[in-house]
Amino acid sequence: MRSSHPPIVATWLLEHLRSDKENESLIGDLMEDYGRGRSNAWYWRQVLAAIVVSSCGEVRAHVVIAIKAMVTGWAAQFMLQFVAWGLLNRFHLWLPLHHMLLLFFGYGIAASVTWLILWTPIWIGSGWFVGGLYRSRLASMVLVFSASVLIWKLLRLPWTIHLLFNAAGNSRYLPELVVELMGLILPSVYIVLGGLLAGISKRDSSAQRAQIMT
Amino acid sequence: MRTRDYLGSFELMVMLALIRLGENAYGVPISREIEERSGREVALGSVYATLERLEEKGLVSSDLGEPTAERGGRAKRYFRVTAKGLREVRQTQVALKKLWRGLPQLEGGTV
Repeated sequence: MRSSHPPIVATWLLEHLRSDKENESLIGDLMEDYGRGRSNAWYWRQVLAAIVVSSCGEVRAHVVIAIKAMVTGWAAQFMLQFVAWGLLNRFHLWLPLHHMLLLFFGYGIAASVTWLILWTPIWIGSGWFVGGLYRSRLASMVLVFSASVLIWKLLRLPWTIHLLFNAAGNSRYLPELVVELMGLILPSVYIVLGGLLAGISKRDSSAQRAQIMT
Repeated sequence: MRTRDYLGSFELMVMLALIRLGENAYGVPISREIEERSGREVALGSVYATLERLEEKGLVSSDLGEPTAERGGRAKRYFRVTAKGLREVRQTQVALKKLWRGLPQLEGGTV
């Protein structure tokens, strides 16, 4: 059954990922139209379209800044990767952790968990870094970085498809396919999450500033 | 020959919807008007992006209305076409009419 309130998460995303001056009026319009019987799917479609249209417009208007944001994101990712590997090697954590997981849960879980432990903070961190650095254009710059990572990851698509066929024929390849799919999709999602975190901390600090001013 | 930017097709649709709606032109009726006349779902985000662009060009102006409860306490933004905007629409209409004339492939069809 359809609720009388529009999806909260969608509205929240629109508030945080679209920064145009007309944002409040747009959200009000969407709520009003939703109240007249539009579906949840319609609301989500409208929200996602609004974010993409606004971000594309901003990227087109500020191409140089978008390129800088992409380069910054990739640099942050390499730096965080370097630090993470350095820490894991320094404290000899990586192999014992991987072996322990392998022993108790098998290859699939071990590979997935180690991937998540290593790459989750790296990708979220790089998204957060770009979001924090380009606060006035947070959504568009984080999305452009996320898109660049997705395009880069899609270069591995032939290998993913190859694994998909292998896994369809033999379940032994399933764990490898899961890790491959995680590596394909999750980095872009994590970057957006990191950007959202930067947006939340930005709003909090703005609220604190407003409180101090009063 | 004078060079100038003509209105894009979606910009023109938005401008025509604004002219048609008059005083009551804000996001919801604008998108409904375009949807009903074009038969396609319109993204409100695209309508707003277009309106912002038209406002920057000075073809449209806007004012904030009163916030209402059904909109979660958010105000409506009313848009209207400026004199410059009206001139631009007329010039686009003239140019399109000239281009339309004498095209047998486009005569007599319903869609």
